[in-house]
Amino acid sequence: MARDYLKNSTRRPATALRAEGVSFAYRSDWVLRDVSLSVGDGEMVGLVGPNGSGKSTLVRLMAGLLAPGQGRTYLFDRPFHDYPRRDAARYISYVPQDMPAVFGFTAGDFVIMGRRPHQGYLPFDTEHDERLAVEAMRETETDGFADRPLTELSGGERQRVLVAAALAQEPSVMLLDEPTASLDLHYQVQIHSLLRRLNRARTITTIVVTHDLNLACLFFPRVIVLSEGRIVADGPPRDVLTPERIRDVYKVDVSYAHHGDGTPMIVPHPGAEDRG
Amino acid sequence: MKALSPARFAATVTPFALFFLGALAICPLVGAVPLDLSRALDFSADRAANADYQLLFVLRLPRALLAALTGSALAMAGAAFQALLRNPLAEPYTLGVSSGGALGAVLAIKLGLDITFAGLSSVPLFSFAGSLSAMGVIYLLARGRGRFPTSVLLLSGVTISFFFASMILFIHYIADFTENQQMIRWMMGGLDIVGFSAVMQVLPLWIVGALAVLYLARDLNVLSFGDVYASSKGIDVPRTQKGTFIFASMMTGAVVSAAGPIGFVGLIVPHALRFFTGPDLRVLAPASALAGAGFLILCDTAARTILGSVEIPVGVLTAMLGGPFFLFLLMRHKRRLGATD
Repeated sequence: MARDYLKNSTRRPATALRAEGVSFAYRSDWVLRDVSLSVGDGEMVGLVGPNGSGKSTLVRLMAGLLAPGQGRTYLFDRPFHDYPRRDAARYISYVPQDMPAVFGFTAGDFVIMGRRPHQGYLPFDTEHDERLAVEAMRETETDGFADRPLTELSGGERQRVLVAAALAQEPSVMLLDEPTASLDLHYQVQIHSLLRRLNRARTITTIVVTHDLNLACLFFPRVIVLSEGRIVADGPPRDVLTPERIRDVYKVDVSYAHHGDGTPMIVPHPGAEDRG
Repeated sequence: MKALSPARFAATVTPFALFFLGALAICPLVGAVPLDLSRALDFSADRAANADYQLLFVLRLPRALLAALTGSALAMAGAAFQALLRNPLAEPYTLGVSSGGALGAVLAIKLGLDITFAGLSSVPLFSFAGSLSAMGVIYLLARGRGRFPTSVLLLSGVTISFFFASMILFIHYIADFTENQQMIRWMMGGLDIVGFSAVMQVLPLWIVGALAVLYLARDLNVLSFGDVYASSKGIDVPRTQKGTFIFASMMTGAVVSAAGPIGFVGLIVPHALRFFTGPDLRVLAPASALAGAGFLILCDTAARTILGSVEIPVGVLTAMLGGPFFLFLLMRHKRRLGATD
């Protein structure tokens, strides 16, 4: 039933993800307080904020991997707790910051495991599974080391393999937790361009946690700023990432410049005595 | 890219199936007492009076089949526990099942009980009951609200093992010489059975356990990358963990009750097989089962022939043969274990 939830409904819901008055605490420390948020189908959203502001927790809640202490989370207008885990995983894929590399699985083994929610009881992979995994590895430029064990890959290579596994999952919604944290400039741009391309071509709703405010300005039409467990700003990057707000949230002075097309460029501006 | 098609599955598993079938076909023909195969297969003669028939069908074949069930169950349970606990040192006995089984057996010997139930005599009966109790206690300790944390599972399993081991020592201490002799012999493991009844008693739990491990194999693969990650790929994490623990433990308890706690098979067979098949449990589990079955048949054949008519306990031999073989593999394949230097 839920398998065809989207296909059977006459109109695909306009809202992909929704949080209503969500609070969350690990033990007794509140990490998120009364967060409400709605992400439309096909949107691409950047989630920024200082360390410990609750970004990773919010992403896990929106992926249905954590249950909120208070409030509710919805996927395509249906509460997460109404989805069997496997049905949710057919729509939504989550990319963690890193994965433990265990027991000599290769990059290719790992990517094809992304097909799990679409597979049946028999323990085999179909040709369709293999085709999608190969394609996902080509798109993330990881096909060159498909047969290398994960233990022998660099942090950046592993991050791209994680993205490949998420793509092989054929998601309608992708949530990525700092997918480019250990990537060099080439792959930072390459992964974000790929996400933007997929977001447009396949209407994949995408939320990306990032620390790079400049990439956020370049690639995300909508940016959400999280601070101390609350949403403090939400909108187009140039309205949201103002020098005043960045000083408020990050306690850092920044200078502000613009690309030729008007996209903001943000440069930290420490006191003269601390510079190199 | 190595997608697991049915053809690749068959190609990887077939050599181990041949190894098992070869061991099963040849080993019953070998032994201290010579066997006349044509006489054994001469079904026209009176079977009760046909010594060769009795030797093959009442002694050696049931024994080889029990060895096969035991070896395969331990190897599969070992592979499953290593994946479940994300620990390469895990084996079927890590979570206390065998210490429960041993406590039951030792208790039955000390009390000199003579009970039979469902065709089981008191020692296997108590042993299986002990395994199930250990499993039940550990399950209740580890179970949380909607969670089944493997760290708690591991710690409570190991702790219960030590607790049971101390109770076994206490029973040893108060037991007399003959009882102690019997207990020690049981602990060493043995496959000397008469007729097929022990095989038939183990078989149902073996089938259920083997099917469960095969069914859970794919989810256990993903689970090795963490609970949250597995959940994001649609896996019901607590259900997979509980299922693996319960079915692998039950299968282990069943073979321990019939053959005693035969050591080492459940640890080294999955590791040795990983060198040949890779870590994918969908292949590793069935390949380990077949190789474990063949390995234990070979060990048992050696155990009953090396010293002529005197038998060596098979549990002693598995470690003596398996240990050096495994170290040899380890030296040859260091790199594949992740030792990169």
